[in-house]
This record gives sequence, C-alpha cells and structure tokens, in this order.
Amino acid sequence: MLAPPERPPEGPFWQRLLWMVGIWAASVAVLGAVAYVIRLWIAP
Amino acid sequence: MLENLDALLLARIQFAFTVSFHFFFPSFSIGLASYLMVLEGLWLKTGKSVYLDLFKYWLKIFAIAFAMGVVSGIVMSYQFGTNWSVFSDKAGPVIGPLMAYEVLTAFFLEAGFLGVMLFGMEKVGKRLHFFATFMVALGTFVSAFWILSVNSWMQTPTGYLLGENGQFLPGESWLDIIFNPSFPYRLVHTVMAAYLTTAFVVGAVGAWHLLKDRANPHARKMFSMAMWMAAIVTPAQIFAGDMHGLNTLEHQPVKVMAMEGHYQSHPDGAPLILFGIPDSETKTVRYAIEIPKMSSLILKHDLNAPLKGLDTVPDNLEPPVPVVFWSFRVMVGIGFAMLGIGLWSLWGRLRGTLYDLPWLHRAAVLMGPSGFAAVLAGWITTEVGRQPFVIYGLLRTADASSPLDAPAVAASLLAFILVYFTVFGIGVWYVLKLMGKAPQPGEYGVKRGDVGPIRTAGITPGPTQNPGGAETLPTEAPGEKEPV
Repeated sequence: MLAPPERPPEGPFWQRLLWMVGIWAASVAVLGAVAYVIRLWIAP
Repeated sequence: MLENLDALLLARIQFAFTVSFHFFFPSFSIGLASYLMVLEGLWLKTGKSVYLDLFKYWLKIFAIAFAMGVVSGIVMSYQFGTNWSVFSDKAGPVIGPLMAYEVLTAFFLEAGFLGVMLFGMEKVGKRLHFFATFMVALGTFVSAFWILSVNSWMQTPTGYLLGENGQFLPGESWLDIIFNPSFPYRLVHTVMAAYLTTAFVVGAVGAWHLLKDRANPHARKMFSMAMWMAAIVTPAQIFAGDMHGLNTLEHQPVKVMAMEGHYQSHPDGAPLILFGIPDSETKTVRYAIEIPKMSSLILKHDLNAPLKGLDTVPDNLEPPVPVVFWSFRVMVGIGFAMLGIGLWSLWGRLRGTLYDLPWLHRAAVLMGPSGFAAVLAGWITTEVGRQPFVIYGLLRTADASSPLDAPAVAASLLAFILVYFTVFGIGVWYVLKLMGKAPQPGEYGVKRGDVGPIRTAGITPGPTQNPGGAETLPTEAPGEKEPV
C-alpha cells in the first residue's frame, strides 16, 4: 500500500513572515493603483 | 419632467444611487470576514476538513464582494469633492480625519491582508494565515466604526466649534465628536445587521444545497451555523433597534414622527400605525390600521404619554414622510420574518429535524436576500428621515452641494449607472454562479491548483485531510444528526 502524500513542511518563520509582508505590500499597492485610476476617471 | 431635475436633485440621486449600490457589499463582507475567521479558527482548532472546505468556498465569494465594495466605496469618497464641495469645505475639519482613518483601515488592514488571505496559505503557513484572516475581519469592523462615526456625527453633531468662516472645527476633545450621541446605537445596530445579512445568505446557500442533497455535510454545517445566528442575533438586533429608536426620539424626534406617521400630536397616548398611506398634502395617514396608544407604550413606556406630531414642525423642516414611513416598515417587517426563521430552525433543531424540513429550507432560500433589503430600508429610513439637513439642524442639504451645472452631474450619473450595472452586475452574477455549486471535499481555493488536502484512494480519508489528528472524518454520514 502506498503511503499517503504529506504536506510539505512549513518554511522557517522569518521566511513566511517575509512572504506575508511582501504579499501585504503588493496588495496595498494594487488597491492604490485602482484608487488612482478611479480618481483619474472621476476628476482628471 | 426632466426640466425639473436641477443639479442639486441630480447630485442627491447620484449619491443615493452610489451609496445604495455600495452598501450592499460591506453589509455582506463585514459579516463574511468574521464568518471566514470563525471557519478557519474552527479548522485550526478541530482539524475538521469541512471547515477548511467551507472557508475556501466562501473565500472566493468574499474576494469578489470585497473588491466590489472597495471600488464602489472609493467612488463615494470622491463624490464629496465633486458634488458636495460646500459640505466638504464646511465639515472637512471634523469629518476629514475620521474618513481618513476609514480609508487607511481599508487599505492597510482589509486590502493588504486580503492578499495574504487569498494567495498566502502555502507561503505563510496556517497560523500566520489565520492572523491575516483575523486582521481582515478586524479591518472590516474598524472601517465600519469610522464611517458610522462620521455618519452619526452628521445625524447628532457634538464636540465641534463654529469657525468665523462657517466651518465646523474640532472642539476640545475628539472623543466628543467620535462618540457622538447616536454613534454607539448606530454602530451596534448596523454591524449586527451586517452579520445577519451574511447569516441569511449563508443560510440560503446551505438550504439550497440541502434541498438538492439532504445529506451534504457542507450544506448541513453552513445551514446550521447560519440558523444559530438567526435564532440568537435576530432577537438581539430587534432589542438594539428598539434602543436605537429611543435614542433617535431623544435626538431626532422629527425623524421618529415621520417613521410613525404621526402628522398630528397626541396629548393622551399615540396610536401605533401598522399600515396606511401617508398623505403629506392632507397631513393624514389614509386607510390607517392602528393599535391605540401602542406607540406611546413603545416609545415612552407609558400608554398615556403625550407624543408630539409633525404639526409642531414647520413644513420646510419636514422630511418626506411616505418614504420614511414605508422604509421603516419594510425594515421592521423583515426583522420579524428573520425572527420567525430563527425560531422555526430552533424548533427543528430541538426536534432533531433541522435538515429534514424542506419548507424551512425553502423559506431560508427565499430569505437569502432579505438582509440586503433590510439594511437598505434601514439606511433609507435614517438618511431620508434627517432631511432637509445633511448635518442635522445645522446645514441644509440644499446648501451643501457644489456649484455645478445640471448637465455635468447628469452625465456623471449616467456614467455611474452604466458602469455600476455592468461591472457589479457581472460580479453579482459570478457570485451567484459560485453559490450555485455545492462545496466539495477538498474544495479548491482562489487559484485552481490550490486544492485542499490530497485524498487517498477510495472513500476513506487520508491523514492529510485530518490535520488535527481526529480519529474519523468529521463530516457526517447521511441521515446522522448534526452535532452542532
């Protein structure tokens, strides 16, 4: 019988924290860009 | 007809249209963010895969609702500058900082951590991911806190000074501005309304899938959780609404007169008008069905307490009574219908037949959109009820608009109508499409490849489906009683 596949182990905490900060910053930047485009549309 | 549409009326229609559209999304996402937090927390605590599947199922819907809410909200902020510049100029020193906190919260808590929620599960690990979910839920609440503080200040302004140029300036303490008299009541009533809105949507989706497959464990779980909310939160919401009404009577009595349809004063006990047709020309409610003295009992806790009517208010300070009268009744009627569903579900739960009541499930499906209708009706009640003022008793709506020509406002209104119905119509259609599919074991996430724990051969769950290490798969077999 085959052994069940396992989840890959989580990386070190600093690496995961860095990922969180990176994704967080990118998300804020995306919303900033969207807000700027809407601003240009409404009040060029 | 069109020649009567001046710039002011068009600006008001535009704001009413955009805020009504916008309000649909946060009233759903505030509750859904907390629901997601609860689901992920339960998954981490119990290890039951049903919670993770439901989390992933609702996360996709949350992402779309949230995006539509943020985008439609940004438009709202800009309108303060384009259409309501006099209001912004006069009230900016007071409401500007509060609105800025709301925007900062939306950007840095909600939107920032939403990215981690959507794309970070594999990168940041389970606990940091839960932290992100918690921050999004917290962000939606903090966002509501600030925006409702602004709105409440406009309803019951306190803590301000009047500058020489007619501007409203902050007084000695910001706390007097933030925690103005109607704010605590409005915050509690609105946030609970958002939770109920979400609960009834979740309940409707669960009921829909139960009607198709009564044994579906995911449908059972979400229906059960939603019905707990309906049974517990609805009575609390009715109580909070009553408290909010008493607060409104104290600070905005004219609004309550309009809500009650009291054109005339009643010196020895006012009747509760259940239904009727308010006629502002004759100052009467035609075909009124009323309970004698009941309004005095509800509002003053005394059958014979006198209540003033709109006959004590100059005509030019009277809000549009029929709109307020009816929107209030729609809100209250839906509230009691929600209570009925909650009690029905409680009865079914006590008898062990919660999942075997197809008429309850049909009713729950029918009530799915009821929360949206209730929050919109409630919002109309409070906003139309404070007219003709934008800052109650201090600044008239007619004196707050920008010096714009009607064609300019009409053109932007037309653009908003076209864009909103197109963009948000597609968004809502997609959300309904997602809801139409039942959640599956190993539900995929936002990315198609982002599947749940890998299943081993056959119907026996693999160990990775059971990360908490429970002995058995914690979803229920068909016909078993739901242990909730």
